[in-house]
Amino acid sequence: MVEMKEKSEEVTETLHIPVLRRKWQIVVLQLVSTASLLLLLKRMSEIYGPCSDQFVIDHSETSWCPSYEHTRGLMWLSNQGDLYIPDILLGIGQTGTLSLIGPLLMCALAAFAADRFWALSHELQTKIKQGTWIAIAAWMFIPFVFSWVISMVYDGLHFPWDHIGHLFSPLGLLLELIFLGIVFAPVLAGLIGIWGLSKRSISWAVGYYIIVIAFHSILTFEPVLSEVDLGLRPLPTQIGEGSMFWGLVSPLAASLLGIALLILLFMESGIAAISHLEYASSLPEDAKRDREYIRQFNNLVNSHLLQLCMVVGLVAITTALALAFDDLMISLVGVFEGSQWTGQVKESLELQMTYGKVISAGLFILVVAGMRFVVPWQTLSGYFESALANLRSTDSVEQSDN
Amino acid sequence: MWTRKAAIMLAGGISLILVGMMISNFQMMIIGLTFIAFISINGWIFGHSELEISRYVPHSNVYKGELIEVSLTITNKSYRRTQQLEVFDNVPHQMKIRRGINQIRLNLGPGQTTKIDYMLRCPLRGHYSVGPISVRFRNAFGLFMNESRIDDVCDITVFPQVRDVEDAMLRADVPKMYTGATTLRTPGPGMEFYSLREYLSTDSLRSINWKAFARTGDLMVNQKTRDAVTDVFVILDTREVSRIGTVLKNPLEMGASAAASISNHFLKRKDSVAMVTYGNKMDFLPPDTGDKQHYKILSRLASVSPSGSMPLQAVTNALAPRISRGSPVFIISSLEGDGTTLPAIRNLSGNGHSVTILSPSSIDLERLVSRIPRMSYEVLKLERQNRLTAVSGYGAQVIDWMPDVELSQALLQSRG
Repeated sequence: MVEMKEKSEEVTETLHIPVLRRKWQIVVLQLVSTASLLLLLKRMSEIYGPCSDQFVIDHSETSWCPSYEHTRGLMWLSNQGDLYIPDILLGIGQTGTLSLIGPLLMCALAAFAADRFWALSHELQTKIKQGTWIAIAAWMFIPFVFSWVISMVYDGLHFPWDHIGHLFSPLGLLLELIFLGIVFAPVLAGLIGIWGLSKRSISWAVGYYIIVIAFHSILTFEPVLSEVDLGLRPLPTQIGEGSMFWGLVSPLAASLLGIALLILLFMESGIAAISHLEYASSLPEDAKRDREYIRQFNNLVNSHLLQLCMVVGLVAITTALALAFDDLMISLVGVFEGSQWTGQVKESLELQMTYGKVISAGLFILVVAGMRFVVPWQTLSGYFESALANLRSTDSVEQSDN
Repeated sequence: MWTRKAAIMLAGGISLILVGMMISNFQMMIIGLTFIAFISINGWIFGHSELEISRYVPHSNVYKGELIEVSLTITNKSYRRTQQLEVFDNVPHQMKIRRGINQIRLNLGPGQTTKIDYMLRCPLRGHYSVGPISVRFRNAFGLFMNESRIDDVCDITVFPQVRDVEDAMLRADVPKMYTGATTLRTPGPGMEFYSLREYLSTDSLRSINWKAFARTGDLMVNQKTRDAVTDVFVILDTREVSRIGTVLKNPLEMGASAAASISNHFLKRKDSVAMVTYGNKMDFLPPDTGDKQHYKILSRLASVSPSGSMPLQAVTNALAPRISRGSPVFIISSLEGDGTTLPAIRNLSGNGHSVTILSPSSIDLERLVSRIPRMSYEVLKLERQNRLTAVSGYGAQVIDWMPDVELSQALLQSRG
């Protein structure tokens, strides 16, 4: 009986992809990545979504500006004519997070469909592609020909200039998808990347977000803004006084740091899941059932999860500390009030806030990086782990004795 | 060493900070700082290869086509985690992994041990080395990498296959009982009566001479004269032309297997076997008997490779003073590209040697790798047949060995 139980245990835990996709560590990594992606969308919409106050005053609440928000563009489009996708799915009529739910559902469905599509055979994929093109062509030409023929029955033979608008029907849908895509393309790519196991899609999503931020920054740059005002709301040029987390970060810094950390978390957890699955899939059949390989795989994913939590946490603290490091330096310099040098340093830091902050933050991060050579982190953690393992083994021996 | 990802991240981070500073945008600067902080924090975690790795290979000598099981035990003797390591045992590309895999990704805690087992198939004879062991540390986030080597090498010799040719040699028209130069009138396995002696506990009951027992009252056994010990000379052609064919099927591979099998057969019969290989130069292994000689022959055959163009007559001339009179000679050669074949064989036959030529058909082996027009094939085949007929005309037993014919089957086809 014991043997049979052992054998059944051996069979249940293997390194086959279908089994691993249900493994809690892998699922946690994918869920963390998905949650980061969704939170990132929410944060980005909050920070980069609204149009500038002046633009709203000059125009109306529903006027379009090229901000990171989809409903304005779609509402502008709906004013031109009826939309093909229902409002509930587009998020029109909703505000805030609610407006994201419909498009997110569509993204989830599209990611699932894309995953299924790529799992199909090449022939079937070709047939589906051909079918789609035929459906689009039919949508273009059938109403066009039909309305032209009907018109000719009543009005006699004439050129179809009045009916040519039917040919551009799919263009309306395409425009709707473009307006949605500006905001949701990285979400779709991210979901495909996380659940469809594509590192390239994840990298693409990260790159897209950084490009959006870069575009926003350039379009809201003071000299550009004075020439061309597209209605985007610029970020404050001063980061503000620290009022959160024991005065460490300002609300603006917390929001911006949140976006940076979410990008990092989304990218690293998504890629981690894929890398582990890639390694498992590269193993031959008998290694996938080998206990040692399974044990080491568990070791790898467990340590990866632990490191992900610790490293991202430490990165958050380090960056927050780095951003507040100039304040610390100013305070320190303030202690040595009197000398000419301290006065100059203080003045330069205070006068050039942005540069001072970034340079001091860079210095702080350099110090953090150098601490690798000062504190033997891993030896310390190794001693701790050894002690913990010894303690566990002593406990288990005592329990077995009892 | 930094990976491409780390370099891109650092460059991206610095660029974002600089651009952010230029256009006074904190978002870009913070993303840049976060990326650089991520690299800095990751720098704290570094793996190590202070591992105790031991490899266990049960047999260092195997026959071609056999399997070897390799076990690698990896122990972390230090007080810290190894972090994500890839351990890779370097296997010669001529060997094929049949079961398991020669690498593992691991993260061993202090004092932990793991073991990997894999099985290798050795499809080609030769001397090979398994190892050294490559250990690559890769940061969990793929930012840093460090590779080191552990010089643990295990030498493996793959002998040519030894076929059982016992039945074939008995039934074939090749020499069976030779009258070699040295006839020893000593007791041993044989047919002729030698003398009577007292029974020993190690003697077979069948050897008891019951009549002598009845006459003397003591258990007596018949001792036989040891059959004539023969020096068998095996000459293997390892010239460049013996490369013709595929890697697995060519005159040299077929010849090495045949030489090993024939030697094994005669050594089992307590005969002395000498091995001569010629190609770039001539290598002569003097005649000897026993397992040691068998091992020497197999080792010699394991290391031969096709090279050179030494003529056969040069070999036979060089051998003439060393070769015992009347000893049988086996020549294993495709007989291609050597104009001295006929005089060499004429000399050997003329000196009273029983010459057997085992000739792998290089034309048919060539057909395995390239397309030969039918007419050309027929002409080449005819030329070969004429050559073999001419050789057999000098009293040699000639065996035309086709690629798809087993050695034992080929030995039955001798013509002389």
